[in-house]
Amino acid sequence: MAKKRSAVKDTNVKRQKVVAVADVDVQSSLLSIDDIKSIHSKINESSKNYNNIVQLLKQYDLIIPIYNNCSNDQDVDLKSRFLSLTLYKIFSKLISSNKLKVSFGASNELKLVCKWLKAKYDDFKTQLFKIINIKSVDDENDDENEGLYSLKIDSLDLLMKLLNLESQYFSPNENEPYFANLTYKKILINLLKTGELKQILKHDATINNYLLLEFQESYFNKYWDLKYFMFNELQDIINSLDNDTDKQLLVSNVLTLLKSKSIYNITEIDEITSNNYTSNPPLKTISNITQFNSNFEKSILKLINLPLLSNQYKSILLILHKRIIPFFNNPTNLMDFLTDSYNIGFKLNDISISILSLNGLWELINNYNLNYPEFFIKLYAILTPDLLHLNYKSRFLRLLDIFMTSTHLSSSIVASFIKKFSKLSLTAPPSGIVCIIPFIYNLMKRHPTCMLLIHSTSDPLNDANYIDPFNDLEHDPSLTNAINSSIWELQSQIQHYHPNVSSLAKIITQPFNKYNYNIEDFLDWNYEKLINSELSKKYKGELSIEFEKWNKLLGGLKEDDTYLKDYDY
Amino acid sequence: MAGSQLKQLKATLKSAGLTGQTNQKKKGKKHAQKTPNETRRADKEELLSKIREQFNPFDVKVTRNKRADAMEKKRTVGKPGISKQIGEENRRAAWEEKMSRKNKVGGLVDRRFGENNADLTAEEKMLERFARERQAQASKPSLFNLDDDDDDDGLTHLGQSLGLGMSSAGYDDDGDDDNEMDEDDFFSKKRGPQVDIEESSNEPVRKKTKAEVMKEVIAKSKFHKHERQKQQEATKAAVMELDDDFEDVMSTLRSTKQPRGSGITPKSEADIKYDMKVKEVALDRRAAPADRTKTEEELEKEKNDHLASLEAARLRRMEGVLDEDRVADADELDDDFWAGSDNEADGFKIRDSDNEDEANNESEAESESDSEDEDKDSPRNRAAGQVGTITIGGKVIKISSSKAASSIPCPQSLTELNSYVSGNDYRQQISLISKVFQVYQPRLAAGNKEKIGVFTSVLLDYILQLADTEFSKDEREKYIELMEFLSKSIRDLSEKFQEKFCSDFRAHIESIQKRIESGDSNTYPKKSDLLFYTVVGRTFSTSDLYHLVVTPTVILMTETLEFLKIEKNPTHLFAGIYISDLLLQYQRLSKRLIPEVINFLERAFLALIPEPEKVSYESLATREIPAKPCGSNLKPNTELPQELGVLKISEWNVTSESHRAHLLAKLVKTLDGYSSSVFKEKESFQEIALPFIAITKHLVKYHASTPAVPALLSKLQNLNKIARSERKPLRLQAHRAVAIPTYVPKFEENFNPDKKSYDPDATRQEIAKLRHQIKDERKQALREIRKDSQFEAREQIKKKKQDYQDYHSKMARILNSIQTEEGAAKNQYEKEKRQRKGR
Repeated sequence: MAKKRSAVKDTNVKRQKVVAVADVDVQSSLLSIDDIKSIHSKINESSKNYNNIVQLLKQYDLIIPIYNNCSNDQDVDLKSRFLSLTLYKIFSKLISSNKLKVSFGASNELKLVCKWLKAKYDDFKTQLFKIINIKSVDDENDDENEGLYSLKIDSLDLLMKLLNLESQYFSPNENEPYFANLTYKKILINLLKTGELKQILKHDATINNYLLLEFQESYFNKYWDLKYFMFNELQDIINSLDNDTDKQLLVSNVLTLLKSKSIYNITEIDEITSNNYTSNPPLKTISNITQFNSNFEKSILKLINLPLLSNQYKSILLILHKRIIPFFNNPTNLMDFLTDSYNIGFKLNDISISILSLNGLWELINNYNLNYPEFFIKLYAILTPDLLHLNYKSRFLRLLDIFMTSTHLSSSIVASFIKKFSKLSLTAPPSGIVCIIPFIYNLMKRHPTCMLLIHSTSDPLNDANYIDPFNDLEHDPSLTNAINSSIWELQSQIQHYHPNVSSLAKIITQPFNKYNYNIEDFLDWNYEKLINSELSKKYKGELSIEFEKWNKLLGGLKEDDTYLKDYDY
Repeated sequence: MAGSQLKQLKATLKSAGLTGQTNQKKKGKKHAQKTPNETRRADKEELLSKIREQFNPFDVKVTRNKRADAMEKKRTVGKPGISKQIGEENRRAAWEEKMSRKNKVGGLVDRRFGENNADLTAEEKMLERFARERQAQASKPSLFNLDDDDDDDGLTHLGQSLGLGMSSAGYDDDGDDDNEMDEDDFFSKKRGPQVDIEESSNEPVRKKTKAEVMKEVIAKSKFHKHERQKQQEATKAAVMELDDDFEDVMSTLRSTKQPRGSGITPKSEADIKYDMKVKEVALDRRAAPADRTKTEEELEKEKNDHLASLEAARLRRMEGVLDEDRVADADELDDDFWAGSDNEADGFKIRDSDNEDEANNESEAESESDSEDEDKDSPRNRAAGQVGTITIGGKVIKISSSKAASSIPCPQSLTELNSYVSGNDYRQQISLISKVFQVYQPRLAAGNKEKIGVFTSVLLDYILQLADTEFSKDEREKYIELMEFLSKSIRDLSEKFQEKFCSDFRAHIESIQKRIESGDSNTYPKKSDLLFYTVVGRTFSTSDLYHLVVTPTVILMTETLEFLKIEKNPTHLFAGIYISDLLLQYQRLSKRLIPEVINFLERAFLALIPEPEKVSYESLATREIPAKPCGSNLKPNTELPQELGVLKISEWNVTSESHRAHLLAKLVKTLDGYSSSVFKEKESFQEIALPFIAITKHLVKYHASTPAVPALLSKLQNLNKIARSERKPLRLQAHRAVAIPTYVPKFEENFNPDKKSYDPDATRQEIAKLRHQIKDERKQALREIRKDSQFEAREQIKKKKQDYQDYHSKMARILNSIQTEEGAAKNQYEKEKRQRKGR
């Protein structure tokens, strides 16, 4: 399939210039809508005219190259859409009259016809898949591709309708519950590799693929049986892919499906099968949540072992604890993945991955009794200079707040965290400093021993020989000896250039009367908010003017009377 | 004590010796001796009352007062039952009195002496009455007392009073009569009583009838009317006479000649001048000694004082203390800019000679308004353009005419300014712009101030636009002149148009912020942004703790430092170094810590120094792994420039090795500046300096020959040594223990439980006392009234009941008597019947 498409793609470029001439011929050979109508009525009249189906199907061989050549002609769009619709009508009529099913004890001739029809029916589906897989040459011009878009969405709709029909009429025994999972699998295979790499959004690795979004909106989110069978088949689908691009597309597509909504509502498990797409699905199978969970689990594990893009990786970590872990039978299976990602973060010097995996890890530790050795050492390792510059710092601080809740933590560990944070504040932006000061305040309230960091009880007479005992290079927070040090760095922040930061830093010199600070108020600051809050202040009468008057603004190296000496225009 | 109440009473009485055998010998002599009659009776009374109380405990009521009880005071004891009874009796008496007088109007009250006194006998009463009568007659004033005008009406005749009556009847119209009357009055007083006596002796005074009185009144009014008519006629006649004589009088008046027009002659020139002079002299200020010309030292001192006060205000702002008296300062500085334009050449040093002349003329034109002639002759003046004149109250004021103003527009937008200055080189633009300032001086016309305000903000836009434009080498001099001129103008005008400037600068800040947010390294930073930050720093006081423009600008700059991608982009590297240098200049006085600068300096060093991977990474603050060399790092053998020249903003995108070496040298200098001013006094100097020491150590290996590098290293190490020796553990929580508030009870010396109030203000105390009394009285009175009305109601009901009972008993009696009669009659009838039957 992939080969074929790439071949098509190659020819695309070559042909493009020739198209103008060729197009006219092809279009003229296309059947007009009236022709299609007449053929339709003929087929409806008598089974003798079934051969005309072939004629209709052959139209696709003409249409698809047109789209591959990226021409856009509203006439062709209309014709092809009408063609698909007509064929759907024909086949749906055939299916509902059971003409595609080899009935027991029928004559040989009838069987032959039936088989032939079935072959044509499969042919029809293949053509629809082909349409879905047409790669539009330039995605930039959405307007021009509108025809193709609607055609594709039509095809998807028709396929889903056929799926419904098949499930209804193709069951091996009459009225036995049946879901046409083979067709569904084919649909999924073709659907999940649609889209393009550049459609993958940078920030959360979801894909902006209209086909998939249509599928998600109209089918996937609504119907349980579709969800069930999707994860039933997903492993096979993943196995069947051999192309890296396809795999990445599949990951993004699946992520998009998962991200927006949780896959089912855990509190309403009983009503889960109430909404099904097919009319008579095998209820017994699909109501088996454990089975679903294990399928889901296997598929996800398979998915995360694919070669992921880095933003896909982060995105998976991001949704892990809410959208994935709750639907696992055995969430501990994710442990390896999470610990690995935690360590990868350090290796790649990208703390954000570690921070993100921490969320999932915490979920496992908290709810599934995961025993994580050297947890605080690993936490301490996250306190790198980058931390306070990252956007994920608030996420980390929220978690850290939870980890540090226990009052039974050794004060040497807490002190190490405080000291490290205050050291990081020396190179941090205001948003970072603003986060950590109340955080440290709360820690000190919770662990009053750590007040030693701002108020030493040692004898002032020994100050002359005082040497800071803190070991910055020590990795183990319980061995850094921070408890005997002081946080001069935070004291220096009292002279921070931003007046609010400076006044916030003053809290360490004031009596600790407040019960604690609500950290949430401080987490989400950034430069933009800081400036906007400054600019929102009103002018009240007086702007202080510099009274020192320089003669020149720039570039008087020899003269004293210059504002900025070392530069010139 | 056992037994019934009666038995108990009997026993008590007996034990008290009041009943039974009174003269028992049992108690013997003691008792006998002590019994004179009187005392025994008193004793008896006392004993009885005691026993009464004892047997009737509810008659006595004791008020329980907590305070009084505590002080063991005697309790106040009342007998409500008895007092109630007394009240009842009084009320009944009053009631009976009232009822007895009910439905009776008038009547005589016998006030005769002793009428109600039962003690006197009839004879005594009569005697006493006689004595009183005689006394009264004796004390009565004599009839012949002249001064006595008692109740008598003076002389009367036929019931009409004489003399006095005449005056009251009123001849008030005539003055002569009045005098007479006075005399009459005088005499009447003296003579009156005599006549009275005579008259009264002759015939008795007869009371006048009503008809007579009315007649008298009518007669009197007729008489008055007649008098008035007479008077009027007389006046009329006099007026007629005067009218007749009028012509004669007038003719005589006309015939006499009078001296004419002496007062209204027009004043001569000399007089007018004289008057003017007088007035001027009157209005002149008194001669006063002129201010002494100040000596050099004094001027110096004055200037220093002014600077010191400004510095003190700045310090207060730096500490974040808000002060109110700042407003005056701006006005003080106000005039400098315009004064400069008056005194030629002072305001604008850089000025085209041509323009200077013109400016001179215009300013002359304004200042020398009096010497008209001179100006008219001056050919320069004509060249300068038309000058209009306005005459107000004799004074001739010259202004530059509207035509002159319209020839020089005041550009109100950047496009207008661009079209205004287009086609001129940079130097000519200076003269063009300063011409605008000349023409639109605020004092020349209303609205000019606003126009100039807009113009200056346009200038700000213009200077930023210029900053981004390229210029050729030949133009460089002129370009610099223009830029300096513009930035200086902006700086000078900022005092004048503060609010406008505030919003302008903030608008720029906002637009820069938007560009940063877009994250596009092509649109940010621009040269104009760097220049903008510099202009802000030069214009506003950057040391303030809080400043409406500076604070957001600093945030913007630090955000820039975070935003810059110095490893990839040479302009970013330059911009970063420039900004950190500028921030050093910003903080030269307040010395505030800027973490972003520390971060940036380290990154910049690592991006520039040769072989950065060899720096010991453990001590770095920005990374925990060895730094990777990037494209901008110097080669190990590159020499740093020995002497630091100026870095040109226009060459910020140069990537040559020597340029980068220059940047590194500049960076060394910047770090030097920071460590000797901003970092030096910080408690965490060691932590801040640690990475820089490592980097400098590394740098010394390559550039030991450049004096600045080893100097920086030794400086850092020295400072670090000092900081280490001075390091003490923090003791920030050594707060003074806050005392628990104590409330000392207030003791009153000379406390007296009876004293109600201790108010030191006597009058207030008095008032309070009275108020309290009034309240008490009012309460009592109300209570009395209530009780009275209750009593009355009770009595009325009682009376009604009584009446009812009376009526019914009466009716019953009557009925009874009738029945008896009937019965008797019936009996008689029966008797009669029986007798007849029996017959």
